[in-house]
Amino acid sequence: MLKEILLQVEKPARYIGNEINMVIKKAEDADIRFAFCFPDVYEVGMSHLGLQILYYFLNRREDTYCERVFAPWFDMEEKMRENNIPLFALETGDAINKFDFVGFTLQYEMSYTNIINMLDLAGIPIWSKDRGERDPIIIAGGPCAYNPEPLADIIDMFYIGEGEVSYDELLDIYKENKKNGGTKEDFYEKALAVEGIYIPRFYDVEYNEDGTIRSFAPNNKKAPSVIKKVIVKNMDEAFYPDRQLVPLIETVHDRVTLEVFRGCIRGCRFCQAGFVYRPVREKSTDRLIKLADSLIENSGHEEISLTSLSTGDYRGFKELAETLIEKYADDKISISLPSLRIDAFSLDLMEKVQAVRKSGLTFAPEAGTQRLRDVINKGITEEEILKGCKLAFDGGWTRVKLYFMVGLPTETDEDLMGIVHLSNAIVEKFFEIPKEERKGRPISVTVSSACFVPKPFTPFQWTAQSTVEEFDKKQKFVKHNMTRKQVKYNYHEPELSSLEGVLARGDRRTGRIIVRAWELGAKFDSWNELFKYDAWLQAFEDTGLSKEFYANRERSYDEILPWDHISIGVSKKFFIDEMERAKAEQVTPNCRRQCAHCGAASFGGGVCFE
Amino acid sequence: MNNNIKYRLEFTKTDKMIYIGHLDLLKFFQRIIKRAKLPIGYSWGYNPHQLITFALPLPLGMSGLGEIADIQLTRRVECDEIKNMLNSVLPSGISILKASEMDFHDTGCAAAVAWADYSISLNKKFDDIRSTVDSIMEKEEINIEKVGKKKTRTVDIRSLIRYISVDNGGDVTVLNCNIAAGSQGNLKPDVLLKYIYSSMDEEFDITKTDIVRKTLYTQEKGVLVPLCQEERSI
Repeated sequence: MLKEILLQVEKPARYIGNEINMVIKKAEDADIRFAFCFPDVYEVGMSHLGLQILYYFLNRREDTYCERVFAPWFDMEEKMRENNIPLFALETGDAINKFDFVGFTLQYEMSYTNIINMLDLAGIPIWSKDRGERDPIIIAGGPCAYNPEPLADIIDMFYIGEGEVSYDELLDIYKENKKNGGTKEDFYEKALAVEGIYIPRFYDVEYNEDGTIRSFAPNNKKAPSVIKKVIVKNMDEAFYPDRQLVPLIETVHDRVTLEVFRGCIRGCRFCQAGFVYRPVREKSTDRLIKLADSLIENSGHEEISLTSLSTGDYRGFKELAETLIEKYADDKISISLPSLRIDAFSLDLMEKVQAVRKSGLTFAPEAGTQRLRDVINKGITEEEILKGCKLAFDGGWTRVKLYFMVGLPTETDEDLMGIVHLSNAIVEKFFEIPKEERKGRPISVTVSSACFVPKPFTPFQWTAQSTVEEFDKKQKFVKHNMTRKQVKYNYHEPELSSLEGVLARGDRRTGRIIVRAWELGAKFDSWNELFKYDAWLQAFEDTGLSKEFYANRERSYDEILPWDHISIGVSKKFFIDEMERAKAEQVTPNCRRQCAHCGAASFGGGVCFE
Repeated sequence: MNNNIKYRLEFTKTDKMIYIGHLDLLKFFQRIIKRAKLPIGYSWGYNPHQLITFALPLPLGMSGLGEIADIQLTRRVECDEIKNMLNSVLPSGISILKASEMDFHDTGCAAAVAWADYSISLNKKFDDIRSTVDSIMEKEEINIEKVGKKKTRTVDIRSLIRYISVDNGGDVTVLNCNIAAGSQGNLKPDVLLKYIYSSMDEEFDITKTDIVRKTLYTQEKGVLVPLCQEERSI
């Protein structure tokens, strides 16, 4: 039966596992069966580093078998529903509704309907309260778990922080409880003692008449009033796999991923990742070179990517990059360097690593004027961008990509015009090269603007998001003024960002919107061709909840925020100070130049103690 | 001219591995060869690629029991060692049956392949399929319309069939056939099956059919010789 179905769907290899380095165990010998679910399609999920780390981390335990599950593409889902095939794990093909744990990684808000869909396909009740002793425990982690509330009535327990820290303890407690015949409720109570674990059922929320939160409090003595994230202190001692799953079909990134450090020193005020992963913790160059060797040897990949939020900020960057380039030159292994700041050194490096392909250069000024860049603390100046472009044009690059955001706090028409001016200035820079040296090569500047989404745990967490109409107006304004033929302007449809704005800062009630939208057919929302905005609008209507309340309302500093019981180690006072500095157009230096006393030093490691 | 040494690999592609297509298989072999640390040769030019050639793509969904690829290594490695090195890193569903050293001037597998044996299990037992097959074999010429990207043309598929035999001994009908394969003339088994089914007034559904490609042959002076022979004299 399965074969017949697989031959009728697009890319059947999405559903078969059997990749190089897949972990094979006897399922019946495992005390704990864990389904690691990525709520998007296989090719996206397999390119995700967190999955690769946790997969081997959990499977290094002899008592645990961690298997993978991805969201089946809609053609496969249709066949599965037609033939009553429940959602299964790739390793064994077993239905996941009999597993001990079903874990979801929350990478982006617009994957939430896929979580509901996957639970439903697995035959697992969607609401936590409807699940019984025989259903798996639904656990979730990842960046969106820092505001767990929109999924608090759906997910049984959240893991706040980095998986390497508390999973062993949690699984040991689970195993012990299961062996002693304990119930799930017994396990949840015991798990309250584990650092970084948040179990929503042990907390009650009350609301004011205006819809804001009146109180949020534990209803169980053992439940901590604040759950602090857990992080790896020493990256050299932390587990990192020496291999990687190598897919049988092309995925988004077919390469070895070497994580250089966690966190970011920059503190851009719109960037959630820059705060929730604080403090910066680096791996030593020696450790990285050893890891690179084994990863390449065990995968057969021809590309290695040095990954982090800002790889150029790695203190041993020069040594690491040069060592790897020299080492792998003869083995036809190329090195990819995402998120580099463009300067003479990085251009020279790129010249070396991509000897032939002079692909485009990418800058992310994020805002059009220096004033607004100061507001968002994006420490890059127009002069630096133009200097970088000049260097690049002299070096033979002719394609430049620029990323901006519209709808940033305090933005005016002048800031939007700044996007146009900066793009034109780059074109001018190119024409400064004498004609005979341009060798007839055309210049192309591609400008993309995204719609700003205020996120929890950023200084902008209190600000109102622009409405769909405002976003539209702003982008059309830029489009109208972007007249040079060398510049191509792409912009995002604001509807998706607007919903993202709701879910990012949603409270416990927003879960009802997600489930209702799913009932009305929403899934794979981040896939343009499948996005059903109407279903979402209907969901707001049906649940009586207001989109504007969540997305377009400015909060006061003393409002109880839905995520106030979660601590990322960075204080609320710091965020308030940063918001005030933003209003005053003051920049805050990066962590290495000057400590801003954000609070992350409480973890006792990383950049705070360099 | 280079000093590479050519080897011919015979391998299987079965079970879960039938769900990957030809381009993915190529990429898969490139990685496996790297993982096995074989001294693979590379082409020259801007984008050097591994010197590996497959005899004939095997369509997604079909199994292969005797698939063929030629590789070039930069130094001599014992044939058994090549086989063992690759098998030690291969996931289930693909395994190397044999590696053999070629003479550098031997025709490459892609140019040499001319015929293939298939074993095809149909969706059910057709009691009178034999007469349909007999009538095919008796014909001098069978012209069918082949719809291409730009134009439709007529092809004689009879000349592309050497034999078809019927095995009705089991639960379903099994056809064993030897048909043309390769650049000189190629008959896809599903095209043949579609013709057989329509002759019987039956609906053909490839997803309910098991197609196994067993052996690939070249033609030397009118005689069929397997691309990967038992013994080769160098």
